[in-house]
Order: sequence, then structure tokens, then C-alpha cells
Amino acid sequence: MSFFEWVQQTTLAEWMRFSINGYPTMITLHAIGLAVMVGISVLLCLRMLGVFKRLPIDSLRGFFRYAWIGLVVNTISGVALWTMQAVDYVHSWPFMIKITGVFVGAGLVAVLQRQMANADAGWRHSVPLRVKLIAVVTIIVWTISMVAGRLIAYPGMIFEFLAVVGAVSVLALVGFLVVNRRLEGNRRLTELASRTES
Amino acid sequence: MNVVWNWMESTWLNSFVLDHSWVWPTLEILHFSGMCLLFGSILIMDLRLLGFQRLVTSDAVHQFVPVAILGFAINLATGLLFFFGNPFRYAINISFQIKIVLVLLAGINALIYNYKIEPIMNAAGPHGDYPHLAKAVGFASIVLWTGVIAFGRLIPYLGTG
Repeated sequence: MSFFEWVQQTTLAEWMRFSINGYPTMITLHAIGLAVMVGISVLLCLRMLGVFKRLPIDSLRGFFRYAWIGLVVNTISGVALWTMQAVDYVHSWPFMIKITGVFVGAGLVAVLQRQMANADAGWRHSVPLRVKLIAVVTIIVWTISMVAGRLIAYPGMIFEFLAVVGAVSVLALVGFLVVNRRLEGNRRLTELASRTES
Repeated sequence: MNVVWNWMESTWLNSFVLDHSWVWPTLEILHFSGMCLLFGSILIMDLRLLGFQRLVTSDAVHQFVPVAILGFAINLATGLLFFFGNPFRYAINISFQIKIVLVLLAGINALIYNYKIEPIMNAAGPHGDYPHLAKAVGFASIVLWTGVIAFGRLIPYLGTG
């Protein structure tokens, strides 16, 4: 018996399969946890990219903890859902891509949290490029995970969707770099102008 | 109402949603994305309203309102397309009906936030604590929108359809 076969025979898996409420409860918790984790972390990413500028970065640090609560909810509900089909999921491209994306995305949010904890006064005017890049990549990775996660229920469409998401992501990344360079250039010019004036 | 549902089924939107295999999953993905934007932003605003994260200033937290509206707009559009695709299935579904009632209540709650609570917040100062009324509105918002997600997700499992 393989590990995944064993998983499918655990008490939890049996309960998920045979109880009336098990599956609907877990699938609902999984949607709520997704909204919390991805919702909050994407908004924090957008702040790093210069949206909501009137909110000081320091004041937003405390929100990471709620995002992690969302991830805990989804780890618990996700494991419960996974036990039902652990054997099939090993062969499911959407599932494997989604789960990889979740690990990478969670790691990126942890990196972002650490970076924000070390933010210095200079961030008030301009967030370092490497932090902005982490923010862009985090949004892309969450998007890929969400797309792949939904497509677990639609086998055979994952690569078409990934091609579209990939193309949009590359465009977004290039667009970000171009816009960022422009904005940073303008900012430096204004700074220089105000310095020469005084 | 059957006349309306029948009309919806006869529109080109209905065939567009049903005839292409990629449309339904695309709408679902967009619906989840809108949910993240909407719920993420109301959560940040409501937690502040409840008195958590007081470092966030009263005036600046309103900046998340447009994101919430954007998320809602995405979900209204994709939600309507789901409905056009399968009007009878949703119309008679108890979970869907509860969800829509909760959305309407959450909308009224948002109007109260906009007209009654925002002035109170601004008067409380940037890092101030808010009165019970404001906290009640924040709490109601979290509960209602969580309910919207839950009953939305439960549509296939509750009642008919």
C-alpha cells in the first residue's frame, strides 16, 4: 500500500467521504481562508507597489497575522479535502501546480513580511525595487495557484489557461518594470529640483 | 418571475456561457479573484473599525473602499453571467437566495458605513478608538460577507439545484 493509498483510508478520509457535512464544510472553509490569505496579502503587495500611499507601511505590518490565519484555515481544510483523493491528485497537473504555487506563495509572503519589518524611513518615498518585484511575483503566483486550484475540477484545460495566465503575467511584469522606471526617474528629478532650489 | 428566467435562457448570453467549455471555469476564477479583493479590503477596514491595528489612520483606511467596489463589480458581472447561464437552477436554490439576501444586507451596512460611520471615524482622530455603533457595523460587515462566501460556496450542496 502506498502512502497516498494509506492517506485515503485514514479516519479523516473516511469521515470526509461518508458524512453529509464533511465535504461542504471543508470546501466552504477553503473559500473563506482563500479570501483572507490571498485578499490581505495581495493588498499588502499593492501597497508595496505604491497603491494606498497615504497608509504608512509600518501601520500595515500587523495585518500579516490575519493572512496567516487564513493559511492555517486552508491548510486544515485543504488536508481534509486532499485525503479524499490523495491517489488521484498525485497524477493531477492542476493539483500539483496549485499546491506548488501555494508553498511558493506562502514563502514569498513570509519574505515580504520580513522585508517590511526591516523597512526604513526611505520606504516612505520609494520601496526598493527588489521588494516591489517580490510583490509582483507574489500576485502572479497566487493567481496561478487560484487558476490551477479551480481547474482541478476541470481536467484537461490547465495548459491552455496557464498559457494565458503566463502571457498576461509576462506583460504585467514588463509593464511594471517600464512604469516603475518612469516613476522613479520622475521622482529623482523632482527631488533633485527641490534640492537645487533650496 | 418565470417569464424573466425564460427570457434569460433565450438570450445570447445564455448560449455564450453554456456553449464554450472555457467560459464557466473562467467566470469561476474571476469570481474568486473578485472575492479576494472585496473580502481582503473589507477585512482590513472592518478590523480597524473594531479597534484592531490602530496604527492605521482613520482617514487613510478609506483608501480600500475603491478596491472593495472593484471586487464587488467583478463579482456582480460574473455572478450575473452565471445566473444567465442557469437561471432556474439559481432562482429556486435556497443557498443562493440566502446569499443574495446577505449581499443586500451587507450593501445596506456599507451605506451606513459610508454616511454614518465615516464622519464618526474622522472625528475620532487618526489613531482613535470608535464608539459601539461603529464597531457593530464593522462586525456586521465581517459576518455578512463571510456568510455571502459560505452560502455562495454551498449552492451545489444545499437544497435544490
